[in-house]
Amino acid sequence: MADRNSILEKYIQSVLETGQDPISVYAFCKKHKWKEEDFFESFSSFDAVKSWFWVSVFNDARNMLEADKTYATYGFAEKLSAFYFLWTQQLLSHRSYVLTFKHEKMQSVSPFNASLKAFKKEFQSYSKSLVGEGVNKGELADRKFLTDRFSDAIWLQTLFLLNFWLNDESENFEATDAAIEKSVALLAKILGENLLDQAFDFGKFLFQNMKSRM
Amino acid sequence: MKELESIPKSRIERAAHIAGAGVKVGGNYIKHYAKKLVNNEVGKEELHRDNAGDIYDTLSKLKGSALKVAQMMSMDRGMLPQEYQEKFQLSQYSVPPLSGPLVVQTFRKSLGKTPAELFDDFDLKAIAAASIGQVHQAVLNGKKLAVKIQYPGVAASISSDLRMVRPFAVRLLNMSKNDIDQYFEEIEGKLLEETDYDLELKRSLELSEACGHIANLSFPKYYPELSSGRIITMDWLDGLHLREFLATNPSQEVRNKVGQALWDFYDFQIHQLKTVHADPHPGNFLFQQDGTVNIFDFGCVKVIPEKFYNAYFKLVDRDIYKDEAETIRTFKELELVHDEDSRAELDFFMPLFRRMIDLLTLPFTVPEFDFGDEQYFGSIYRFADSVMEMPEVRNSARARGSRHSLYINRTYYGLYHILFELKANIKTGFLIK
Repeated sequence: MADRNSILEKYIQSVLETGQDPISVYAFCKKHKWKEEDFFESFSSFDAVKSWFWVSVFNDARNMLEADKTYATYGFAEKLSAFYFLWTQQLLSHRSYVLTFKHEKMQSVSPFNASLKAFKKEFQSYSKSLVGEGVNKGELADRKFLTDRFSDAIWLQTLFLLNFWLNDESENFEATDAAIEKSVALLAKILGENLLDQAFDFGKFLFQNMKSRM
Repeated sequence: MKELESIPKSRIERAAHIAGAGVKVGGNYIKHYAKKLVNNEVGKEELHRDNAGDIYDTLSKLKGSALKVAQMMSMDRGMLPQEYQEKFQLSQYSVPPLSGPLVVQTFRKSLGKTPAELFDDFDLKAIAAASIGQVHQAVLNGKKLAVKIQYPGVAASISSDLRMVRPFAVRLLNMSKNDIDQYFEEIEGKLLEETDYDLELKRSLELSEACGHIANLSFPKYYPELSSGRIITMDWLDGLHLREFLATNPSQEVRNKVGQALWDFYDFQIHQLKTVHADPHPGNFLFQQDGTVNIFDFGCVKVIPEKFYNAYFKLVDRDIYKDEAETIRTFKELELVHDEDSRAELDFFMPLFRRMIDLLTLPFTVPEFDFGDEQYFGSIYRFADSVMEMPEVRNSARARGSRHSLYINRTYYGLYHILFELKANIKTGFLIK
C-alpha cells in the first residue's frame, strides 16, 4: 500500500542510497510496484514528501509528549525543553537523512530551507500555545505587540539546536542535552519579566513626568 | 531547593568561574595584609574564612568533579585550617538539582523508557544531591526506592576541571607540584571510575554481599534491571545524617554501637577484602536510633595492592623501629623516603613520618580506643598544621608518600572524623590479635 508513511520511508531510502531524488515519480512508483496516482493522492511532488518528513517527526514528538502525564504538569521552560529532548531523540533514527539538509557551504541547515516551511508553521502554532499559557501563568512577560513575536525567537532557537545537534560529536549527544537545558533556561529568562521591562517602565514614567513639568 | 538553571559546562565558562575565585582570593589576601598594616591583631582566621567562602561558592557552581575535590578536601580535616573545613563540609550535603525534562531524557536515553513508565510513582524533584548526580524518590510495587541519576557530560569534563583546580590545590594544601601531579592522577582515575555507574552497581552488589554478616550494618537492595550507565536504583534507606543524628542526643551506648559497626565495616574491608569503600564522608551513611547504620554509595572503591598493604601495616608494630635498616626499607616501599635522599633528608623526614604514623595508628595498638579524646585529635591537627609550615616539606623535590596512601589515609581520616563526632568508644585491637 502506498500510504504517506511507506512512501516517505522508501523515498528516504532511495535518497540515502543514491544521494539524490529519484529520476521521476513514475520510476519511483514502478520500482515499488505502486500506481502513480497512489503517490499523487498523498503528495504532489518529492518536495512535498521532504516537507512532510519534518512535519511527521514534529507530530510524533508532540503526540508522544501529550500522551505523557507529567508533561501537563510542566511550566513553559520545562515543556519546551521536554519537546526538544524528545524531538532530537526522534530525529536520531533519521540522522543520516537529516544530514542531507545541511547546506554544503554553511555546514548547517539554512533558515530559508523550503522543506522546513510546513514544519515551521506547525511548530509556531505549538509554540504560540506554549507562550499563551506561559503569559497566563505569569511565567512570561506580556509585552503587547512583542509577545506575538516570541514564537519567532523560539523558532530561531529550534534551528540553532537542530544545527548544534547535527554538528555534535559528544558521546551519546550529551552536549546537545546540555545545550537544550541551557538555551531554554536562557530563553525563559529573556522572555520572562526582567530588567528590560523595568527599564521601559521607568523610561515611560520619566517621559510622562518630564512632559507634565515642561 | 533552588533548581539549577544551567550547568556551567563549557571549558571557558568553567575557567571563568575558577578565575573568578582566583581574583576574589587574591582580593582577600590584599584585604588581609591591608588590615594587618593597620592592626596587627587581625587573625589569619578571617582570611581563611573569606577564602573558603569564595572558593566554595565557585566550586559549588561548577558541580561535578570540582565539587568532588571540595569534598575530598573537606574530608582531609587534618590538612585544612578549621575555617576551610566548615565551609567545605556544606558541599557534602546539598547543591541545586537539574530540571525535570532532563531527568526524563536521561531515563529515555539509557533505559529506553520514562520514569512514569518504569515506576508507579516518581518524584521529578530531586530529594538530594550526590556530587556528580542527584537522588530521586520513587515507588514500585509499594516499595520506596532511591534512584541516583548522573548529570550528562560529567566524565567528559573531569580532566579539564582537575587541571583548573590544580593551582588551587597547590595553594590551599601547600603541596608541592610533584605531589599534586601524582595525586591528581590518582584522583582523576578514581573520579572517572565514579562516573561509571555500571561498575558502581557491580561493586555495590559485591561489597554489600561480602559485608552482609557484620553486626548493626544494613545495605540497600539494588535493582540492576532499573539501572544503567547513568542510573542506579536501590531501596530507599531511612535514617539520619550524622549531624541530624547527633542533634537527637543519642546515648553513649547507641553512639558506641554505630561507631563499632562502622569500625568493623572498615576493618573487615581493609584487612580481609583488601578492597575498601574509600569515601567515608558523612553523606554516605544514615544512622538509626536503634544503633544501626545504613551504608550506600560504593562509587569510590579502592583496591589495596598487597605490597602496599604489607608495608603500611608493618609500621603498626612499634618493634620495627629497633631495626633502622628495616625501617628505611619499609619507608621506601611506602615512597615516604627515596633512594636519592641525602642523609640529612633522611634525618629530617624519618622522625617526622614516624611521629605521623605513630599518631595515626595509635588506635590500632590498644584493645579499646576512645575517639572522643579531644586531646588526641588536637595533636593530630596541630601536627598536620606544623608539618605544612615546614619549608622542607613544602619544598621537597620529591613526592612523599605512595599514591595509594592518598585513599587509605583519606579513608582513615574520614572514619576517625566520624568516630570523633560520635565520641564513640571502640574495640579496635583487631591487628594485634
